[in-house]
Amino acid sequence: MKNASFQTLLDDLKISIRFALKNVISYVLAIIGVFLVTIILIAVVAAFVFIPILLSPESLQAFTVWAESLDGWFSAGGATVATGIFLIALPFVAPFFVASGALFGMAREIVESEGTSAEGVFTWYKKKFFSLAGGGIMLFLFILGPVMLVILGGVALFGDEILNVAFIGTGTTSAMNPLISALGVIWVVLSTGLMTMLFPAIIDGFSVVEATKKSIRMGIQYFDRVLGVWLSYILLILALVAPLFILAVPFMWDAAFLAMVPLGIYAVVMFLFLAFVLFPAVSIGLTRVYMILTADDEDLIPLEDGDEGGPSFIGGL
Amino acid sequence: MMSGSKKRKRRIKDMEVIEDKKLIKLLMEPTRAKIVFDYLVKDSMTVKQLSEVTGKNPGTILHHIQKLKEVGLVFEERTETTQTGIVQRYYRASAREFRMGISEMVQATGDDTTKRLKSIIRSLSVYGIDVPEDQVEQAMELMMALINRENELSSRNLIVNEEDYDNLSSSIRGDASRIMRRFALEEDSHYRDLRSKWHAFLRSHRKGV
Repeated sequence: MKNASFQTLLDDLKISIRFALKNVISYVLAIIGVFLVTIILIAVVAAFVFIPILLSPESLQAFTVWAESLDGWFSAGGATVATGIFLIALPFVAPFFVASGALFGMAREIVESEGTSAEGVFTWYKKKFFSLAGGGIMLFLFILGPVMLVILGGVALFGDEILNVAFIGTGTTSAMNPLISALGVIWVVLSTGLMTMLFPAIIDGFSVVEATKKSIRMGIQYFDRVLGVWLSYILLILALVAPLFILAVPFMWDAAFLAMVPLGIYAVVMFLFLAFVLFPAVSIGLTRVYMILTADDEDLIPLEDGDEGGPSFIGGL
Repeated sequence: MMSGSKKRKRRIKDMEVIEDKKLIKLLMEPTRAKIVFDYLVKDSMTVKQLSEVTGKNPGTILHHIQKLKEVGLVFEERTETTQTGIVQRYYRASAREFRMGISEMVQATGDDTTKRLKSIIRSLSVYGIDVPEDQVEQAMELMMALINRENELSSRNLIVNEEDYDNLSSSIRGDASRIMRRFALEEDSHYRDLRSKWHAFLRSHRKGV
């Protein structure tokens, strides 16, 4: 039950998609609602960051200096730019993660009781806001932090030239070194895989730090099941997206744009399926796996099976 | 057909007196109180079952369960996976009976509990016991002292063989528990003294005496 087999993973996928389809209306409404709130929240964060800068002349001057310094950053090298983007991105990604995390709350309701409601997402959004935001930042740091450390360490040791190793020239442009790309993909799949139980654990009531530890521990202990189900979803998404790229490229070259109409229709349908069915299915599937794996089955003692009830003879005190 | 995994059996207390003001406030919420006092003290139930019996949606029940779990009033007893793929968690109260610490309840809820206690005293008139208004406070003090002592004694663990106790059927366990708790009260001289005072007070206000 806890370990992965082809059948288990297939069941995980089938059950999660079935539940996502069954609750599709709730999910469509919830995702649209939560998307709007996220946009507003990101706008508020942006306002907090940029309006004070633009309102006062001193700040405007400071902003100009800051903007001019960007030029220096770019000439200074990729490491500095990457660090800057990394730090600026953090407050902006947090609202997105809160929204995604709130969908895990809906998933928990479905997995535990078969049903949910669109407004349920806002209850989770409100009640777990700071935990989910913290979880999102933790996830962001866990995936990109080590990458940044490697880049910064490499630059500190070998100078900016080390970044040239990461990129190789292809004609007039440059592309990622295939080896670095492969390592990057492996790291992203592995690190996100280890953190798949983060949001289900936060929804289960754990703090951000405890949920992170729990997720990593479960990812290691049940590597096959956790990574297996995560990879299954990634492969499913790739299988859905791949036809677009495979079929679109030859059409582009032939400039046969009319032939791209069915492809366009496919793209729209696929996007809707990804956003309103597969994305919820991922949260349902991961929550379900979390609940199965956290069910403690060690040292089993039979519970009160066959306990005969009946009226009491002795009255109350 | 269900495949299930059973948790390490957690010992359910026979009786627990809730004295923490935070817990008392938490249980002031009617749905939470219903979940604990009406259902989970008797048996383990899933969110879905609780949702059906209370008429609240599963999300609301889940939030209440999480709150109750956080403070240790409820725990996960076992998990079952149904054929449809639902992973059901069975929740159970940490004790078979709960009582609120009366002094703590007065502190936590202020006037509400005091009003309720006064109402109880006044309601005795339907049994022919008329307590004058100027003696209601005194009656309350006597009753609270008695309840406090009773809670204190009843929450003591009297069981000497816990393993055998767990194997008893629920009805026999309930009856045995009541016999022994009553016995423990009778054995306590302080409790007997408080009870005598309370009974004397009631007798003195009985109509026709």
